[in-house]
Amino acid sequence: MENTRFKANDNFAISEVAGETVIVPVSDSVDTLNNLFVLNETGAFIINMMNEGKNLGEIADALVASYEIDRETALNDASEYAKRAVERGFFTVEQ
Amino acid sequence: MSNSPVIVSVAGLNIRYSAEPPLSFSQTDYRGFAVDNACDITLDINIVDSQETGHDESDREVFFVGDCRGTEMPDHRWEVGYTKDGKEYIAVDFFNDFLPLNWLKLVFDDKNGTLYISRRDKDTLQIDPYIYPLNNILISRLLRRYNSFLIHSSVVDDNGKGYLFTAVSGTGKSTMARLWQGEGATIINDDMLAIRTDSGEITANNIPMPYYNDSSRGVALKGIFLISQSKDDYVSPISGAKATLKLLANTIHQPCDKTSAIDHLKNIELVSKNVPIYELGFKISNNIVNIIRQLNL
Repeated sequence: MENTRFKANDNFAISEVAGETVIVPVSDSVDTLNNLFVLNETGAFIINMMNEGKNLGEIADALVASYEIDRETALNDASEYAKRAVERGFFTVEQ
Repeated sequence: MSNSPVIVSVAGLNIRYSAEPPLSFSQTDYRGFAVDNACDITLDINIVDSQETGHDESDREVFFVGDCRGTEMPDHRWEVGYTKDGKEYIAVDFFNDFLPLNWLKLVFDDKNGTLYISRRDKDTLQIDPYIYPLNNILISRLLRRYNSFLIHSSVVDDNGKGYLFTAVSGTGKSTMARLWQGEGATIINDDMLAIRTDSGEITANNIPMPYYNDSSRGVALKGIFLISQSKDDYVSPISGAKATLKLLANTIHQPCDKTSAIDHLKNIELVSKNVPIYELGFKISNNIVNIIRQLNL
């Protein structure tokens, strides 16, 4: 699990708006244009690292360094968040 | 009726429609927008007497498709993309045998373009160059070049102050506009507006629309309201990413790639930084007009 990496899909764009990280759809039809997301601080942290090509282990290490959590919790959080990002179609698992 | 060429001014962009040999243009939707100024873009019209579609699957790269059926407007399918030689295009196919047109295809050549019109009946010579839905798609594409965009909304001019009301259809945009009209304000439009961000101030402008018989108007935007009907009137300011994304959800855009999606987002963010945005609940009464006026925007 620690070595799992992700590739950002082309159907969403990640950007900063008013100091917050948002995800907006890039679509070829009008049906999916309202799937807009504002990420919380931890979510933005994880999504941005996934977008930079970091694997789950590296993301967990970064979470431990930035927040007061143990590594097991950090890895579980990163894994859970990444799983949801993949389910929503933002990323594809690259291994 | 008017002979080509004609120049139509939309939100400050002047579009010249020309044809050789000259065509007779009907003056239905754009009549009040015709001007005699210099033009920003020229569209040369070519009439094609073909029943076949103007394009096939192999000669283009499609990046956005829309399909519209069962509304009060003619059924149609539209798409934007690039031709095989790299030119941006807009194509519209109509499915209604009663219409005089089979399809439209507008191919941009840098700044200007060529509009191909396939007519169903060879005797039909009178054409509205600003035909639905080409009008909205074309304006949306042109506004993007000026960091500007279209939005579903109503806008009123209250003594030089523009107030924009946006929501999904059926929420009360037109109702709100009429409330303001009853209190002496002018309705700029009650359905779709062009927002210009590139002229020093944020302005809202009407565009030619079917059945409106309108003339060109615009106003500096002083307040934006995300409206919903409510049993009590209320107004609550919002800001930041939440405000930008709520506004974005009601705009018209074709985010064909990450760059254009982010560019559009940044245009919306520019508006939300410069014009205060509020969530507004209202009962259908003139009281809401007084509440907004008391904000002293």
